[in-house]
Amino acid sequence: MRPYYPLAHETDRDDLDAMTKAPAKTVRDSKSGKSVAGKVLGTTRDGVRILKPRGNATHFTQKELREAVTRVRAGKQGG
Amino acid sequence: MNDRDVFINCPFSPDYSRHFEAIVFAVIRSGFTPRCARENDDGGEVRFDKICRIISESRYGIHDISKTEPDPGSGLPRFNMPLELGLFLGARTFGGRAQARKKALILDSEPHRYHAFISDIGGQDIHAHGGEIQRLIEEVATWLRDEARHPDVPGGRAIAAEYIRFCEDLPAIAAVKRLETDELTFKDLTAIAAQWIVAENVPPAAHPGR
Repeated sequence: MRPYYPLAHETDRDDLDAMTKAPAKTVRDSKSGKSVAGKVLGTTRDGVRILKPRGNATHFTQKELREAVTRVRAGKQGG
Repeated sequence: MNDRDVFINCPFSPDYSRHFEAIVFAVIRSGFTPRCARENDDGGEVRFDKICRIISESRYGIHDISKTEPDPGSGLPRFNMPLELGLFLGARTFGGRAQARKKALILDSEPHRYHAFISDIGGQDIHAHGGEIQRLIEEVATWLRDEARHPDVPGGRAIAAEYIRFCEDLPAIAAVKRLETDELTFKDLTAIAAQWIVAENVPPAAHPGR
């Protein structure tokens, strides 16, 4: 179902959905200029890029890890 | 050599495990990648060769020489940390132009204690942590922030407060796979810490419903 945008009636633009998405940004190393995309796990609210650690966890898949962290943090917040 | 890799040279004994975890956490939170001899269990690679390889690949080194007192069992001191510090400083001195860019943070429990057992490193800037985890995190975070010239990296006290919250969650995260925290490998610890830091510090725009 198409989201409701009040301005859409006036402008008759059908590409507003795409316009709300931030453009893809290539993360580059400050010195080498090489792309480090794929090496960044996420960016914190203070702007620090948290890098993916080398190698995979021994006892967790990436999905299991994400779910475990989410579940434990949610459990704590829920009391 | 990777500009974001930090070689951690410290004891792997149970009495230092919380300090080690704290260094790993501070390194990841500051936007760097921790490296150490525990990062893989390839039995085919000689330990000394592995340490040399990791040192050559890491621009930064964090060396804690505070645990060099004699082992209660053998009565002999632990020489691994001074040896690996010497390797790191040697790589910087003799390793050519690229390796000359290496930077080292040397930590001890007290400011001038090293004079008594490794006086040849006099002239290096030695940072004291007094054995306290909070001071250790502050020293590591402050040094990395200065080296990275990244003003967005939070201060050491803020990172130490985050680390306390991480320690509260870690046993429950490990328990999901029916593990105790001391059963987690270095790869587990770094993966959990990185995932937890990202989840804990989600940018406001990424929160659903805002």
